[in-house]
Amino acid sequence: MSHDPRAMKAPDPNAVARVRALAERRLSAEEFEAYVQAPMSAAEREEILASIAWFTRRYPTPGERLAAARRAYAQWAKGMPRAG
Amino acid sequence: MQGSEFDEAELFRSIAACGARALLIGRRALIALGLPLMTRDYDFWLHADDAALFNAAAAPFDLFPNRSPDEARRFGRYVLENDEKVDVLVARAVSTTGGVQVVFVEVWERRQTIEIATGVRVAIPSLDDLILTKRFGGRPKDAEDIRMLEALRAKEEG
Repeated sequence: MSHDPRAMKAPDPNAVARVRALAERRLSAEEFEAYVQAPMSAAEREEILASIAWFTRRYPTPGERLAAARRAYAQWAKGMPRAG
Repeated sequence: MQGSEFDEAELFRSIAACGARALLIGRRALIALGLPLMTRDYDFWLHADDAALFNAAAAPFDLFPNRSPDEARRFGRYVLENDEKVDVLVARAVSTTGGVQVVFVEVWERRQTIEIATGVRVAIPSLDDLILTKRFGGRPKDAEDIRMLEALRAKEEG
């Protein structure tokens, strides 16, 4: 059987819907604060700042960043099943 | 969704020129500031009296409101939609998950502007206010975004 390593199988729509529901759920005020107020490790801070540094170096202007985000979203959306 | 035919800079130009007190909030504002995130929607927070001006600016892009300005004021929000989706808050004040009242006119007074294209400036909340607006939704991704904004704020404060 031939196998194309580049071809990614689209995720199951039901699984996508479950993940969406999890990501979009509203947390209680206590849950939300616990997440936001959790101490930030040096590693987490460095990772965040490194990702911002890369993005602003690669796309120096706000307009370029917005355009890049639109392209990235469009690319991502192509591989996703339509929401039921 | 193509994400390329729609002229985003021209939409921002039209909004900037229309005279509406409109703040870009949500992930698009974070992206403009330099946070590498993805989103489908545009999120704006308008002065409650400016929905008609804003709608007129969006109409040439075939973005049409799902509520009249009067209805939108009653509900506090509405949507402009075609292939793109623009979520619009028109509430005079919004509560955060922690119960803090965030008042539009105060956030508008503290706004900053960023240049999206030559001669096109978009208003966004100050960094502190952007963090507050991220507390409106209370979703996990809002909490993640706040952590990124806090790291950015700490860096800017040196």
